[in-house]
Amino acid sequence: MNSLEKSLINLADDLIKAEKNSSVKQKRMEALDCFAKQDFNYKSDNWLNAKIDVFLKRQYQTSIKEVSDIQAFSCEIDNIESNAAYLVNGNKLINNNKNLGLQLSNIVDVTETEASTFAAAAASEDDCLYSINTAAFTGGFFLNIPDNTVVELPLQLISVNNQQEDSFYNIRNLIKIGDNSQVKIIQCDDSVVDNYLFINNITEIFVGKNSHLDLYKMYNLSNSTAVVNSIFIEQKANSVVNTYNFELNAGLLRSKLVSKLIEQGAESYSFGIYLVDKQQYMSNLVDVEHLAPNCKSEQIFKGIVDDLARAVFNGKIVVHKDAQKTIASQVNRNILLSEKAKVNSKPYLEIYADDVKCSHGTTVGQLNEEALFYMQARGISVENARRLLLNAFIGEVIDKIHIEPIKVRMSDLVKKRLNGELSKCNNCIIRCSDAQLNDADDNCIE
Amino acid sequence: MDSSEDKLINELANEEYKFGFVTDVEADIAPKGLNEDIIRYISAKKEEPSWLLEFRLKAYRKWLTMKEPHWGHLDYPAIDYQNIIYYAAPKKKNLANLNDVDPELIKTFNKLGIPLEEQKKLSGVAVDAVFDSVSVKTTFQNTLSKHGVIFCSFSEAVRNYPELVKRYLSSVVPIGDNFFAALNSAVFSDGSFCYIPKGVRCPIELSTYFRINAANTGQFERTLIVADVGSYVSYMEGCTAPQRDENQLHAAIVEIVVMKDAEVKYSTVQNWYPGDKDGKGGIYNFVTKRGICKGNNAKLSWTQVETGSAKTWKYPGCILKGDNSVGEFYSVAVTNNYQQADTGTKMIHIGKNTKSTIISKGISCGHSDNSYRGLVHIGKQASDSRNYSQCDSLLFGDKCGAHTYPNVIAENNSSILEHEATTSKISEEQLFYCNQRGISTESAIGLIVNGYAKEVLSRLPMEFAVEARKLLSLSLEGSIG
Repeated sequence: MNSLEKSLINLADDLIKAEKNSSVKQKRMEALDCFAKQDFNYKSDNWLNAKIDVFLKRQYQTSIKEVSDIQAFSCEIDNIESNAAYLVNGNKLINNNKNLGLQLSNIVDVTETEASTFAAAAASEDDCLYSINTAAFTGGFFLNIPDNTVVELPLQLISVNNQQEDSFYNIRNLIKIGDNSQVKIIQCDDSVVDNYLFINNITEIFVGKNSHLDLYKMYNLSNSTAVVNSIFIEQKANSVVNTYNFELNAGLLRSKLVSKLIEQGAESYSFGIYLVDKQQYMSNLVDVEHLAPNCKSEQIFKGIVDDLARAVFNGKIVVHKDAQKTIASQVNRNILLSEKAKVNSKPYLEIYADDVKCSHGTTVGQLNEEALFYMQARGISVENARRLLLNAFIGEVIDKIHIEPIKVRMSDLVKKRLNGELSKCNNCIIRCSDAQLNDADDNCIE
Repeated sequence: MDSSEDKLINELANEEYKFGFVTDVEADIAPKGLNEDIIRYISAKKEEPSWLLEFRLKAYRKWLTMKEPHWGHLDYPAIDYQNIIYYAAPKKKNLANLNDVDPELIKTFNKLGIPLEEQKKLSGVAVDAVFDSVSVKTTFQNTLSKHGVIFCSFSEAVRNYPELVKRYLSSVVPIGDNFFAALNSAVFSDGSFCYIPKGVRCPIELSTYFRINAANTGQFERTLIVADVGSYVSYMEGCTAPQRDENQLHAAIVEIVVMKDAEVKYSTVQNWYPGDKDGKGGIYNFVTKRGICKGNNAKLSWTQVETGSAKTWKYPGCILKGDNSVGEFYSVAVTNNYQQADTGTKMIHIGKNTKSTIISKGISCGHSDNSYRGLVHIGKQASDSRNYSQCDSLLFGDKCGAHTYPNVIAENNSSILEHEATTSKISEEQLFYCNQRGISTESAIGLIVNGYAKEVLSRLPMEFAVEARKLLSLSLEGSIG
């Protein structure tokens, strides 16, 4: 047992003792039992040789530290009109918004009835990071949106780290959306200091009848940060959920999305991009479970992999026996830019109903030679032609974004990211809308 | 669902196995169970050289340390490996000509539609028939030997060409490759050996026919095909077993070595007893098949029509080592009643400019589960490689399952890899269109299924294509014209 494992178990023990909410206490205890039986070294197939060991072998402080205030944290997205709430160092919630018409509080403060669905959507996960999260979460957002509520402005849920020590966070969010409601949520994990971080984040979302949720998740983190982010969504009749995953930078990143369509007519759409280079490792796991008839799901994940980086896509669509008239599709497209980059794609289909239309496709390739030639023949340099093509490749996903400032920001970040070194900006054909971007320091830490 | 479709599904579910008879042949049977003594017994029975016994024992010891794989989408009770007879052979041996073959055996093969004598004369296909564990008769030896082609039973090859066997045995499937391969390496009883010399285009198609007859036996045959530089061979394999209530294990190995500029075409029509309509009995078909394109410009093509077996666990693969080598996999898998099939392929690209094509068509009926599981790995060195995979599934009835588990790994930036898959039932529109033009629902389904599988069936050699169509219509009787 390594020291991190020990300190996590100690933390869980303390939290269990302090837990006032009896049902949550029960869940924490069960999860801790489960964790004790699991292998913390993590050799699970889904990770495919991820360098997670490198991160797990480090020393992190796990205890809860008092937080005075957040130091000058500014959101990356300019001009966005939103209501923001912060979770600082995984335990303190700062919410200065008033009259939102919804309940937003720290998950450790919720009452027994409010927490009734806690750990319900993700109960069957056999994953040590999942069990330790349930056993030892120190805080997180609890969001309760009543029936018939339209939340006009996007809601930003930001978790920020400002501790100088290397830290390991277990953050747990619970989001309940009532019937006939609408909300847009933007989730980010961020840090104002530069040290080693391991963020283990789980979000459970319950979407009521006829409700609509847009969920944006952005990762633009330093190379010393490891993020394991899991989102579990349960959708009732005729609800629509769009999820967007933008993976620009991180030392190690696993994003997992599990959607359960439990009632008729639910629709789930997820879109993702991943731009991986240097020695980064990013993996996307998408599980969609069709449990009811007449549901629809679609996934489009696109990635550009460069240098020594590795990208993994594990998709799975399960259509259960009664889920007739299902329409499901899954697309994963990859472009490999260097000789040493690696892509691993597993789009699985498991189908037990006969009246369905399901498809998946995966491709790994390069930029179209003919398109490159065509552009060069018209006086566009090779570099610029490449940029244009890559930009267009990613553009398909960017175009799906409904919030304009995010669209602009993402598009800029992608362009900047594709340019790689900043010196190349001068001759660049793609104009970024944000002039400051061109002067800003590159986000990557070598 | 309309009534004619219901009727069809019922018909499919009630279709009986036509090869389920037992032949009464005197047989040499080893005691049940597996231990080093049994392996020595098998080896002694076959009068094998000591190196082969050592090979078996090494494999057995390796097997003891291994665990049975359970990652397949298969559900079966634990196999008691001590309750299987590992060696059963028809008693009369050393046959010089067909007249010496037990008349009961001849009758059996006639019933199966493989009349050894007739086939020898008419069809120009050389047959090596493996009955239970022993190769009974290889036809057409003379014609083949004129061209220098070696085609004989595995035991004969060990006796007559030990150097060749020694060099290539387990060079593609190592003894510890997987649980069932290790088991086979320990107890394999016979099989076929085939060597095509340099520059020879094998004048006739070679064929092996496997038959499990004795009760409680497992069949562990081993096929080794070596195609030397610039040669060509088309090889066919078929199999049947009697109808019994208990499950029988079949764990075979097929190894193929394709040298520079050579081409091997391997076709299988697999029709082991699939169990009755309640899922009782049937063969567990846990087979390791792999070929290596060793030299440049080599080509290996697998074609399989899978209609039998209670459980199938089979992934014919190609290791594309030589530059410009080509690997192909064409498969039609039909599952009915309570059959479960987990089958697919592995394409390992190592050489430069290698190409692979995968076409897999699954048809599920009744309560069955049909899975495609595949791996395409394009390694670092395999620059400018190309893969295209297409896996389609067709569902009949709402109690069956169709699954697709592709794995794709790309490790260089000059290769292109595509995979696509669809799953659906026969669309109402297609049926309606046919009905509108006076074609009954039943024949319309037949038409559509035939068209669906055509891409694969057309790859089969003539003799086999006929049989495969027959089998497909057997499995989907009443629907194919």
